[in-house]
Amino acid sequence: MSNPDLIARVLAGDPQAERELYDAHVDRVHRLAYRMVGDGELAADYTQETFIRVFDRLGTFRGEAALSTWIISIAISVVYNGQRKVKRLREREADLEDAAGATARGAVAEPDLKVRLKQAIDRLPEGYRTVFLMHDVEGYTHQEIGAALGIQEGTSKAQLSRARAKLRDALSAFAGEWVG
Amino acid sequence: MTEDRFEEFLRETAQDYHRPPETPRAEIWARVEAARKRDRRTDGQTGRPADGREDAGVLPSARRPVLPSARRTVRLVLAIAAVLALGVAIGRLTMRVPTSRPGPAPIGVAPAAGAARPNVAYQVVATQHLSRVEALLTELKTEQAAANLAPQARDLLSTTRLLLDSPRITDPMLRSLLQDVELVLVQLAQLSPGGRPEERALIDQGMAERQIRPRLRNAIPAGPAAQTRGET
Repeated sequence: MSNPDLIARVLAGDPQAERELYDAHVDRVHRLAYRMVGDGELAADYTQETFIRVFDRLGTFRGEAALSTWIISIAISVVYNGQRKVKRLREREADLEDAAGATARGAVAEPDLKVRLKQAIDRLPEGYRTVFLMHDVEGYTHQEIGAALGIQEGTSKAQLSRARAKLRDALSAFAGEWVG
Repeated sequence: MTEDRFEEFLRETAQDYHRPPETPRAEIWARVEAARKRDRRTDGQTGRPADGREDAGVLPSARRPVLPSARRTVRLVLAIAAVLALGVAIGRLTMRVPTSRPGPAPIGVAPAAGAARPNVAYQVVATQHLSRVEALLTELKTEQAAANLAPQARDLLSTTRLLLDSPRITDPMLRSLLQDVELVLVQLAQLSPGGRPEERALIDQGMAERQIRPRLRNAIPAGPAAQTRGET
């Protein structure tokens, strides 16, 4: 069934169509949400919120981008907003822990490559990180990324290039893994 | 070549970054459906679910924990408005107390029969006016609002002049405060839209020197009791 037919049925209140639309897109939304937050509970919350918004706003979808891209753009917006709140909460918790002297920082062993890569990805600026995860990890095209994030394809490419450069610097100690 | 190999290596290695588990489709769908059903039911006239329970039949996690809905925001605003209205009502009731239970005779004013009511009226007006001035000065702290304060300042300026000219004012502290307020309002009234930060800094400096904000704060809650200081 084509997207316009499916959308029309959803807008007409057909519950079967709602489920079809959900099934067609939920994996992609959940995967990306999980990649971005790394937490099952949050990823499920964000996926839930994304589909609630999708159904609420489907009437405003004009077909300027693919439906999947439109849904992903909503998902990214939901994740960004949610993560800002989570970050604020975690900062408060960290402040409390610091104030209580609860954080015992012992000697940390030199992390291995994967740990270092994870840390480096975590430290990327939000925009670079999203583009990197979408393109290099989840396989989105620059066109899709541009449409989902509301940026030019060229900007997406530039951000990916900068993200890779930062990761390369962060992993310089492991250069033997890909050189030679 | 090395660049290509790095990109390939990066793509492969990064697959382990936050590797997603299988999507809990059924669980998420149940939550989406439940939240949407609840929203539809809450859209009814009562504003509450039809069965009267907040989350009846909804999984605990089916609530929308991430982002508050517009409806929640409206409820919050209504609650704040109700609290404010209650506060205003209490404030007004408190203001009436002196009329039924007059305090000591005002200093420097011969208590005349029937004079208490006009005194209270003056106090109410003065207190409300000072509250508005305080609100305006609070807005001054925000850059965006500061650009549009001149019309409000002009409005308050005329009331300040009326209060100062009133024969009912005998409290020197109130008179002094109103005079200082008048000066600040004159400066604010002349503040050009999008005025330079230096202009606002000068006004702030003047207010700090004359301690206008703390004096206003002291004067406003002291409104009802001010009568005992001799404002008429």
